Amino acid sequence: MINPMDLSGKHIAVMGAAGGIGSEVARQVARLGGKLSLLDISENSLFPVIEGLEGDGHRAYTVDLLDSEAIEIAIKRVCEESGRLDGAAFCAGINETRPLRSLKPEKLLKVATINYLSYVEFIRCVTSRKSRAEKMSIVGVSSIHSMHGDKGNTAYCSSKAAMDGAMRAMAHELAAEGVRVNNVAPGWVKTAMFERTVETLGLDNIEKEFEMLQYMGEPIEPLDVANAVCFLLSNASKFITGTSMVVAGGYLT
Amino acid sequence: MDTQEFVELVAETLEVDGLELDTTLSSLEEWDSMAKLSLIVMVDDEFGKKLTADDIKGFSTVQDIVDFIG
Repeated sequence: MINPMDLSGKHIAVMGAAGGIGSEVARQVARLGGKLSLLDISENSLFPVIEGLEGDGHRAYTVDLLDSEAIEIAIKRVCEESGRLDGAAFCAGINETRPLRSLKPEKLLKVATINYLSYVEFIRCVTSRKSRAEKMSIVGVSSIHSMHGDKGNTAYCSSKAAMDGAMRAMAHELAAEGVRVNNVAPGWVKTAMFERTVETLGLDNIEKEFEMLQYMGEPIEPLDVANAVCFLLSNASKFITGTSMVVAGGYLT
Repeated sequence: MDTQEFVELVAETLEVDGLELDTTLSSLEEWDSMAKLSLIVMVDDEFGKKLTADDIKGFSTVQDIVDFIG
């Protein structure tokens, strides 16, 4: 029996590894045999994630994405301590549902910095010749809202669209160096971000979207997104680059 | 911030003129989903308090918003 998504012997960095999707990506990479370097702002939140991982050799690092030099410093440490990277997943992100009338520049900049600027900086650092292995796969967690507008979500939608735009350019630029770059675009996923949105907007408003748009039903489990990320990290997707893979229960069809 | 200043802030948030404490929210043409979301965001930004859609369902007048802030 074979496992096309086998990640045995691969060193994978996961940014945002304490979040709902990031932690599930970390767990699935570990189950598939990968060695992990986990990065997140919260050391307390990272600890239970690393404790629950299969295998050994995993390490955790704290990074504040609002500090413009922090990512480069962290990735340098990751490679010094655990060797070159075969893959990297960017799973960090925030959302603040906020009408345009109250979306002042400093609020927009915070979302853009964490969701988009950090994504590009993370990929810049992990793909440097000193950091990467001969072949490498990068996966970002974008959103269907990169392609589908949503009231009160100008900051979030635009940051995710920027991630997809950057991904396509980076895929072109890095292909000759053996690096693939893809994103996964989930719909509504059962995470703390989703719970906060439900609390703010009201469940009855959200349920209408499920019935009409995400017609396969219930909010997506983080494991469904993690499986898509792991597929793109693995050699099973070796001819896929420059793609945003939609995982959204039919939302965009 | 006194009550009058807060009512002016609510008026600015909802983009309406001439708001009074006894104004019925449902009578305002501007009282739509985006206005409610603006209120949630303003209460969080200015007072650090969490206001939810369920809380808003219980508001009838501007006075109810003042009472929520306390």
